[in-house]
Amino acid sequence: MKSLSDKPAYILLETLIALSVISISVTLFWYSAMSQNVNQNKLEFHYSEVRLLRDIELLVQIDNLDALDSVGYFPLKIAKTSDSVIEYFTYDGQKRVIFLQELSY
Amino acid sequence: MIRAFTLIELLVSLLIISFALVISGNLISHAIEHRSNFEARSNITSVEEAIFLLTADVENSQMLIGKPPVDLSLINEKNLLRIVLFKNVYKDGQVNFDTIYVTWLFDGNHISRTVSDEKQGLILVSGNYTFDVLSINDSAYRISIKMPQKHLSFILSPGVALL
Repeated sequence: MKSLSDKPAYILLETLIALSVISISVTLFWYSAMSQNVNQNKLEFHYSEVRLLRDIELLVQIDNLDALDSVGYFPLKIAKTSDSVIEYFTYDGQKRVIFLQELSY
Repeated sequence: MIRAFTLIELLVSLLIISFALVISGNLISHAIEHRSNFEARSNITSVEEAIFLLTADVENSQMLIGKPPVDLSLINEKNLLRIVLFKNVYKDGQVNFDTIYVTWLFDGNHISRTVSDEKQGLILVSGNYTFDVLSINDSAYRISIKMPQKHLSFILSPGVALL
């Protein structure tokens, strides 16, 4: 049986285990924060997209599309490429196109 | 006799402690920044939800005899925007039908929704913002809400039904 005097003062294994646990906790915390950020981005894009589509539809019906505030739908980037087409980019960088003729009744 | 710490052990301990301090300091500052950023963005989401509910209210509003479906009044001197609309709702009884009016109030600090004669409206958004109302035509308005982080616009058009 080992006496107290035989035990080493510095135990590498225990330190490494403690550091591993801390690093795993920090990694989990970091991923959780990133995931929260990504979900918040998706939510903002979704709300802005729904609002944009609804507003374009209303403005086309009253024949006043010039009243569309192109900067009021951030984070969507809106570009009116011609009289009949509006383009915007989604959160994952996909380009979507709205054909205004399909909205006019 | 208990063996003392050697120099190398002390140095390794100091190194580990310094790493831990740097990482935890970064983590705490990042957590604080993330929290404040998230709260600001949650406020934007609250505004988006309020707009979503308001537009749904307007789309479901009904015209009463002699009254427009939506009465939008801008009280400039007090920086207030009040939107009153009438809705048909389900109600228990013989007719199962009732008409309520819903009042939306934008006052620069809150966005609230009050149903009929409720004393206290439901506050949907709290936080500083400014708003601007542009009349597009007789029955359509563009309302812009400017917050420190974001600028939102939406169209209110009570006379137009979406197909």
